[in-house]
Amino acid sequence: MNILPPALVKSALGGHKWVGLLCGALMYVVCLSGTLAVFYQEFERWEQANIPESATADSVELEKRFNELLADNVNVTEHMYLRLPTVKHPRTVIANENEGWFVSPDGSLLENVSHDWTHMLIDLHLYLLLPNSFGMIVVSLLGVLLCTLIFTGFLSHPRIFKDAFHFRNKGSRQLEQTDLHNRLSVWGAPFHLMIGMTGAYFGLVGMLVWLVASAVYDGDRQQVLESVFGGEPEVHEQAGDFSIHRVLTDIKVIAPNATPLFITFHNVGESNQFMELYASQPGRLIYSENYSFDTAGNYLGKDGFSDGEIGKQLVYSIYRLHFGNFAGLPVKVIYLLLGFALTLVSVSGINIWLSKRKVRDQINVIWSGIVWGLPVALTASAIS
Amino acid sequence: MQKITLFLPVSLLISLSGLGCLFYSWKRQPDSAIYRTAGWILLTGSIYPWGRALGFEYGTILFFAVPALASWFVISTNMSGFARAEQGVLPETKGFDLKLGRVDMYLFLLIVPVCGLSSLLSSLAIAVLLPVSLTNQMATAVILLPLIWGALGSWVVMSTRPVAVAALLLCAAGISAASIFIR
Repeated sequence: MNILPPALVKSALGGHKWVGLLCGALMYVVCLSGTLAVFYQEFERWEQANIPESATADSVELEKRFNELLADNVNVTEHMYLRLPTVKHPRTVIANENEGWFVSPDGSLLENVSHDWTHMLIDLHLYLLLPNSFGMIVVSLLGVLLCTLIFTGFLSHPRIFKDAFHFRNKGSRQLEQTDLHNRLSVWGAPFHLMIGMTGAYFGLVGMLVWLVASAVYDGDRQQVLESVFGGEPEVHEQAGDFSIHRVLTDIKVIAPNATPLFITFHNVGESNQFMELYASQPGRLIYSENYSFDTAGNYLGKDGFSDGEIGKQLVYSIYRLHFGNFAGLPVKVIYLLLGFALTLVSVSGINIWLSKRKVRDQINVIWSGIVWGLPVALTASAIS
Repeated sequence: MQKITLFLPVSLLISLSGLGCLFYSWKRQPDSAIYRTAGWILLTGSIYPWGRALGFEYGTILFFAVPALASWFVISTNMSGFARAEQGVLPETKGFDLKLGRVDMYLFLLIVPVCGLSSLLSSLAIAVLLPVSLTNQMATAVILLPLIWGALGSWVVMSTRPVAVAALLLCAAGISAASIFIR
């Protein structure tokens, strides 16, 4: 029994085809790069495999090294960063706004951080290598179009339950590609919808913020951001070295189950400088809870992402939810498989259209070039 | 840790049993309503042990991901092996043959700027109606925006009169803007 009227199915199929053709190639690029980008930390380690690793760091040595770097005043920017080692990413990095340096387990500075290929891969996924602000909006629009494709796809699929486990392999190419497309997309739909929604967030949230600012805060976007993400703590007359050792010692008492990820040093060299420790929370999708400390290491408070308003927790969970960066390798493998399925859905969708045309032209050649050329190009650039 | 070791295999078993029931129902001719219903109940109910095993957040993701991955395994073992059909030699052209692809590029303008404006304003208009804090209203709008945009985009591309739909959406955008700004 077909539960959808044939006219609706026909128009949904037409709409699905149109949107698919509009964005199929870009969707493929974003899906493939995003699938690989799930393993960006592993790629970073592979790119600089010679860096000595340790899941722990001597906080006294780190504090000494970091403050020495600040004292040189050569590489100091308004914000400085200290990436702390974890079991999943056992590397320590000191960075300013422009560059970073690895720190050895004994506290000495090593070579510059240089993950050019991984950054290229991430930039391809986030911006399609376009200028960042424009590219981010384009990629977010693809997230929206993915939602459109899922909706029209379901409406154009009246035999969704009847075909739930069908895969007619080795029949006609069109049938084979259609079954591949439908089976992968139907069963993976919840994941794919989540990826579309969370992907749309990154480029489109700015418009929402602008709209709310215009409606509520006379155009002051900073106030909107502070209402969601929290503002900077009030600190005055700060001076001297940053007490990193004390922060890393006290956090074990303040949040015993949290895993410190990195420290951001705000307003470095100013009288209102302070530290913000980002620490992941076990079993949570929120990127981190953020704990503020003054220069001497006195605890000032936290942003409340772990136990604040539900909306605040939800918005701060989008990053890990989209990138699969939680719960370690098993979840990364799941994201790899489901992401690869979405990539295949993008490819098979265009393949269905091509096989229906009953003609071969330059589009077939170009499409094959894109589908096979991208993985070849990524592989070649990775090993070169 | 004890909770994880107990509930993880239980949730996995329930998810896979649900999928197995659906597959068995599908395989039978005619399909079995009992197994189909049991399959959906087991699949839906597995969210509870997943949540107990890994917490609500991680558990929900596994609740969706495990049946998806397992279904592909089931499908791969159930392929119909037709002989490869003769494709024949397709006629070749040197240029681009776009006849079968609708190149109604004006639809792009309707999907992106028009649906975008309408969904942006309507998602926020819906969110501000909720009796919750501004932060929660923002989060609601964040969730609604891509869903509404995607749904409106679907409406436009499926419609036989997309321009009329777009005009309606612009009216909705105007009403939404008024409800947001005139308060």
